[in-house]
Amino acid sequence: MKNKIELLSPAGSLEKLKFAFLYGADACYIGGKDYSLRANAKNFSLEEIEEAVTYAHNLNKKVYVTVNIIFHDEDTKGLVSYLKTLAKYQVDAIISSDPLVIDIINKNKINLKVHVSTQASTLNSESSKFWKDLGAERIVLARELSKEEIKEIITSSKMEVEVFAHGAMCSSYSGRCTLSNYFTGRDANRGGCAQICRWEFPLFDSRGIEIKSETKFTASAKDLMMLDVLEEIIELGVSSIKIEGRMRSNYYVASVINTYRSAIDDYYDRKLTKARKNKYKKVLDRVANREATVQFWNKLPGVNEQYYLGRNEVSNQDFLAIVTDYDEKDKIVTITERNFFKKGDKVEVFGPNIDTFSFTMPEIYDTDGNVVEAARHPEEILKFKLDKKVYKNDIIRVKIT
Amino acid sequence: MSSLIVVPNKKEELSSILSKDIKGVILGIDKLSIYDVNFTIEEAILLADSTNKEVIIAINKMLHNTDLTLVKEVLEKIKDSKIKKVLFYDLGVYNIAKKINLDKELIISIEHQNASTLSNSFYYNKGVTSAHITSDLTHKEIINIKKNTKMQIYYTAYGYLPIFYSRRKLLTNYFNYIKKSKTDDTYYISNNNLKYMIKEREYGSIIYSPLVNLQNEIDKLVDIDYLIIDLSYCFSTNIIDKFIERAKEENPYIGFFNTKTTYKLKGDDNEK
Repeated sequence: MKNKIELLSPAGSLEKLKFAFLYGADACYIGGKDYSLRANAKNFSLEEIEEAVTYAHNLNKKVYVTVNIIFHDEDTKGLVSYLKTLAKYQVDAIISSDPLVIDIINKNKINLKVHVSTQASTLNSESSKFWKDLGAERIVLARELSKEEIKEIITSSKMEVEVFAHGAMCSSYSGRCTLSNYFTGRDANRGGCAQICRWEFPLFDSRGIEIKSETKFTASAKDLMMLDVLEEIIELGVSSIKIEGRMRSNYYVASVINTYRSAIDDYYDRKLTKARKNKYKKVLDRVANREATVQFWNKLPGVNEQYYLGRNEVSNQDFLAIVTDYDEKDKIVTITERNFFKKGDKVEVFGPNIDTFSFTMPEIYDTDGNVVEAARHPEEILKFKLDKKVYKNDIIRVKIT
Repeated sequence: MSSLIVVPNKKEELSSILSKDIKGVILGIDKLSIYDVNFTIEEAILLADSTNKEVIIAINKMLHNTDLTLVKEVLEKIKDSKIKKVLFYDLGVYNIAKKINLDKELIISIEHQNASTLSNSFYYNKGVTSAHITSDLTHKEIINIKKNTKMQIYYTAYGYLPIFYSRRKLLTNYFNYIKKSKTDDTYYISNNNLKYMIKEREYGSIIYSPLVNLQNEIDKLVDIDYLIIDLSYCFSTNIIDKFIERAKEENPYIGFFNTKTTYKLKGDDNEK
């Protein structure tokens, strides 16, 4: 059997990386403090990168580090030393779109593999070969490609190909947008993107007359969700599927990774039935709180693949608690609360070592053994009785029906 | 001293443009260019035969696999022509040019993706001896690249700059949503009293910057080899004369010429 497709998770911090691995990621991509897009994310210090790599390798998993800004002259200071340090830490690959990074690696004989970032918007077989000739091992393809186009590139380039499977979409070809620069002075290609494509604007015709409508113009795209076509992606020969979102929460990462892990494993075990897929989709729909489609996979996206009424996001209150301990003798679960719940609520628990199951929340106690009416205080330590065994870092959420 | 290169606004204006004191023209090639006015490769070759000015062809659309056959055909056709140079965006064009041993000067025009001395040096060492430098760099950054590389530098001194390029038909989708007819392929949005043009074509949608005009800055640009006057979506060719005469304009929009972008938030508390 061929190698299983890689499930690649975002990790905006060491804690998120550990969650991602715990919940089934094969690899994580992380950003350093410098040279990485998502300048607003916390990102990793060099010491944390070393710790992340050691942690991952002990689990036989991988860490890729983004070095994916478009460099201006002022940004290149210290880059050689940084890349050498990443190599010393045995980072599994870096993700980059500026060829100067590969050039530096080649000239300085730095032992680092390179994955070409989606920021390079690699769209065709010839540009894939350009990167291959340069020494890149993998291409993260542009999100604008159809199934057929991806297949042609895999066949002709004979490179590892990574595709985005889930998360937010740029409306522009990645790396070819400077709306943020012009509208806010924040450099989109150096990590400062202000997501202007999600803003709403009155639209004017050539005579300067506003198009009258309650709905303003926007370029905003719905999210990407490739669960529906997971089998096709695997059978196409894609090496890795990427989940977007280094700035997402632990809950988001755990839920999405756990769901794709289950779906991938089901596929290889020949158990990915329609019913299971529907169940997984419900989880993904619920956790993302934005509508999602397969976007360019089988057609040019039209009106139904865009948002016109704001981001349609509401704060997700599904994440109720995280398990910190389970006392097998007394069957007592200890949790840290995240969102409001009370006795009698229908909830479910999921985790890397259990099949997701639901239950009705029983009596809840504080650490002194007092009954509490409801869990109202985030980070509060609480306990309740549960006959079925759960594990540390399992997650309790609202029951998804 | 910089030479002027012009992207024409209309085919009918071509001879008038070529009669001016300019070095040459950039012609977008049909189905492979994002310019407003495009030419068949045969038209471009004919023009190169009939003028002593430089004729540069532009292949600057985002290229998908279905475009590659045409790219190869175009590059094969110019092999024995007087077309001097090829301006390209997609790195696949470079690969094809090398494969067919195209002996023409290559101008990389990968916009925001080529923004440093080191990346320009990289492309130079790959045989790409000219670069159309991105307009989101400051004047100081551009001069630094010029001083520290052997690249011939092209820089847009006048024109609407593409600042967003989507494969989506954003105008069609919007008008479908609001259930109104799209009567044009050009609309506008605005921000801070500046207008941004949105164009929809068969290959997708492009949003353009306000009209950048660096005619007042021309003395600072003498070290830049070629200044591009991009007349796409402009009615008149008079601006060419203004550049030649070094005429001044009152408060033109100059983009990032003197303004650095920012991107980094300081400290560890960025994540909220």
